[in-house]
Amino acid sequence: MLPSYYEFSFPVKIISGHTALNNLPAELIQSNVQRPLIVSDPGVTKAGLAKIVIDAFAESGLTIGALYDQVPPESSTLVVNQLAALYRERECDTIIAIGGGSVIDTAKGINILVSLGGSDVRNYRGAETLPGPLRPFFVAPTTAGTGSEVTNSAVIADPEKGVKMLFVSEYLMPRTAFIDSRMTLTLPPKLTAATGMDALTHAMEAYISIQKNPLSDAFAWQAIRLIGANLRNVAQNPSDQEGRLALANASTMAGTAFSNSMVGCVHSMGHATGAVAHVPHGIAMNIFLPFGLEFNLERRADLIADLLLPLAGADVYAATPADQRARQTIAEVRRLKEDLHASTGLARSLQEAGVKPEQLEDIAKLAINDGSAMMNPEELRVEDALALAKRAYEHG
Amino acid sequence: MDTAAYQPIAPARKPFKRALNKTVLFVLGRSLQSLSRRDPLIKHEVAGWPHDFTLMLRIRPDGGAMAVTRTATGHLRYLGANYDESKADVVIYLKSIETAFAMLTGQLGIDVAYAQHGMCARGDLSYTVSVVRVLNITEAYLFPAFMSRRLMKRLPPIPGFRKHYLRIRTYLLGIAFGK
Repeated sequence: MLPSYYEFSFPVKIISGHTALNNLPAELIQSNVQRPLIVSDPGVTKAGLAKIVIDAFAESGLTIGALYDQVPPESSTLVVNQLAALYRERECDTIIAIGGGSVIDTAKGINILVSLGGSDVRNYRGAETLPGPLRPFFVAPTTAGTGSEVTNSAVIADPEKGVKMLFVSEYLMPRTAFIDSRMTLTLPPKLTAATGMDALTHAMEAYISIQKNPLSDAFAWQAIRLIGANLRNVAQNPSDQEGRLALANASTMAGTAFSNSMVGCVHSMGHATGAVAHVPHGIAMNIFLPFGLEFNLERRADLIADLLLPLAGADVYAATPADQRARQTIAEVRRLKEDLHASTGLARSLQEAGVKPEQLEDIAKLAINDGSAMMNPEELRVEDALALAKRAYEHG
Repeated sequence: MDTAAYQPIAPARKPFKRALNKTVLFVLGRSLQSLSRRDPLIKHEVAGWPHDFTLMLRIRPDGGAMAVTRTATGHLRYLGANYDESKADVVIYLKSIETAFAMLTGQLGIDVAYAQHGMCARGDLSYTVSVVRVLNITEAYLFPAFMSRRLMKRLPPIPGFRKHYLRIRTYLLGIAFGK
């Protein structure tokens, strides 16, 4: 059934391929910009990924205004403000982000300031209140999980106040995202598994969210299919370039899905677990996903049942009686977790991730105030969050 | 082409919906002030908000507004309809008079209104979920249960006697006097 009302925004051009970045300078020229500020982090430089981008500029006639590769693991308003000043000082006219969520969110923050003016990005925090389109910018993701290259939001920490600030606007999305398999080829197996489960969670939560719509469903469905078919293989064979490209595409599709229909309680629990116990986001998603699906089973059994087909394939779907498909979907997620644990050592429970039992209450209290909870089909109360955390502590 | 046939069209007014929206925003503001002193669920939520935290609801572009602020004693104080928007910590904008009318007359829940992009917000969104819970609890007092059930995923856990007592009290004293 169609929702009575929905919105869907996806203005990002996707360029996907094993050498997609070769066309980066051409895309800049097409967008009438010519002097980029490249934003990245030390890990990207160390892995040689910034060099791939710089090499693409050879014989292009375009000068790179500056390359900043010191973005911290958690993007900060301070860094954003400083980089907006650098952008102006070097007379840049566009930004290229090479990295994961933190780098991309930093680039989104810089783009707000250099497009709308001002010196402090904190003045623009809020949801859907940015006044008008921003300058075109470009993204090359180096993980296959966050989907930040196609999302309408950025989370940027304010180190002075010790809070994370949320910026939501369709204008935050880049002009073009380059899905280049070379950029994720060096990701270690465990990180590949964790980011893959992050993308799977984006897609599954988007598909059952109260903001779901037929267009986000289509993206979520394809993302789940690609992850179901490729994540195990790539975690075991990291040099599988076709599989890498499939997972990177899945991450982008899952990002498109949740950017237009939001995520739910798995993310609420994961964000809280990250804040309280410093469990990396992808690992937290891997731990909580089956429990989040179970929590929503009563309200969303039919939709969770649908997901068995893209996740496990036609044979498993056809062999499972209709009334057992929702449970089987959850069982397939657990089987995937077990397989990834066996091949990469990815933590299956909060206990394995190093969370202490006395931290569970704090996780629950924080989770119910996370914005993701609003679009979850079932209301997440503190007693529910605590029960989820306790189950996820002991079991996989 | 005779361009005289193609004149500008000024936006029509909807005085009934406009007046009703403004009235309900007043009722909501006074109810928040009153209930924040007596309902333990709202007290618990508001206790977590920063001192002087000011929340504003505004119907865009000029369809009415209301603001409440958290006092040092942990209660909410209604600041009226004409509070300076730039001083509010969070402003939740209702994008259209129709969305506002549906929300304020109990036809559209807050979660669904947000899912349908009926609202946008400026400022610190850290307390958004808590604010929504407070608004839902307040609506559970103002609307009968059959309406509230349509508006919320689950009704707030308010015991029956308290719900009836505070509902009557809010309608008799809270809205009129903010007590």
